[in-house]
Amino acid sequence: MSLTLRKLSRGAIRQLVEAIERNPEAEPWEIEVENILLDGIGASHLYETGSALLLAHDDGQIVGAALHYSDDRLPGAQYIAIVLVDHRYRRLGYGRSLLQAVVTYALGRSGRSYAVWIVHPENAVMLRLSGDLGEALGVDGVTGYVQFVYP
Amino acid sequence: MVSDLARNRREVVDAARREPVRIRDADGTMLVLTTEAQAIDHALLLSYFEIYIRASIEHAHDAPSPALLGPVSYISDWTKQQRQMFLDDFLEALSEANRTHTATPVTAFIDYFAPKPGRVSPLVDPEVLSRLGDALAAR
Repeated sequence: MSLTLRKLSRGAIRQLVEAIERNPEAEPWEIEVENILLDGIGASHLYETGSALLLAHDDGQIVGAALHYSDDRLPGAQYIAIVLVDHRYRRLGYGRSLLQAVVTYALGRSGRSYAVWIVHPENAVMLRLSGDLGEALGVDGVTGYVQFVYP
Repeated sequence: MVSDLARNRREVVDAARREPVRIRDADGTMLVLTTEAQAIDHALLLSYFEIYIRASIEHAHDAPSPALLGPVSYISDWTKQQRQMFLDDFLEALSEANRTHTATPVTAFIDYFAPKPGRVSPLVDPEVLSRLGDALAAR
């Protein structure tokens, strides 16, 4: 496994969304990425310096996607909003590699001290990977999502 | 004088189904025959150009008017830099639409950034991020 990240240009993101909307057989993970970005908040962050939508490639094949950005509510930190592995490539170790890669990428590009993210309480795999890489900060009192920070 | 439509009705209609065709009426008037869908799409594309111009004008103001921005009112509280990047991409979408003779690229672009009430994922919910920030500060 040799995972590389490629930052999508804004134009490429728009084309990706158009392609998904036109294709009734779009992959479920593509629709998942689109749904998260389409809420308007995630999308507006794409215009901010230090934010990026990344596609993870292995040997030319797209295996996942990630989105990170900065937010005024998170001083000194980069927020990892999406870490998503194509369902066809799950259980192969890509999730761990992708989480590590996007955290490293986000901190390296932003110069910020911390990377933070939240995980659904029932996502056992991501909870384990997040605990291995970072440190649990606590649990969001309203949603139950588990909060993580690195380093 | 016999009109193009009267002379070659089948061929003219078949061609108009594919793309707009110019035909000459019996009195010499030039007409354009097109499908209803293409006419609606063309009108929609024209309205998008108007929205782009309006957004460009509002962008120059310190406090853009959401009412005047209409379908793209959501950019009114964005930073000036974000709005400029939005307009750059808007123009790119318009160019693509003009090139492909369909309003779809612009429709997708405007919808892409529009807030979707009730669809805010906790992953990008400002309140969730505020509490995450509090937890980080308390660490």
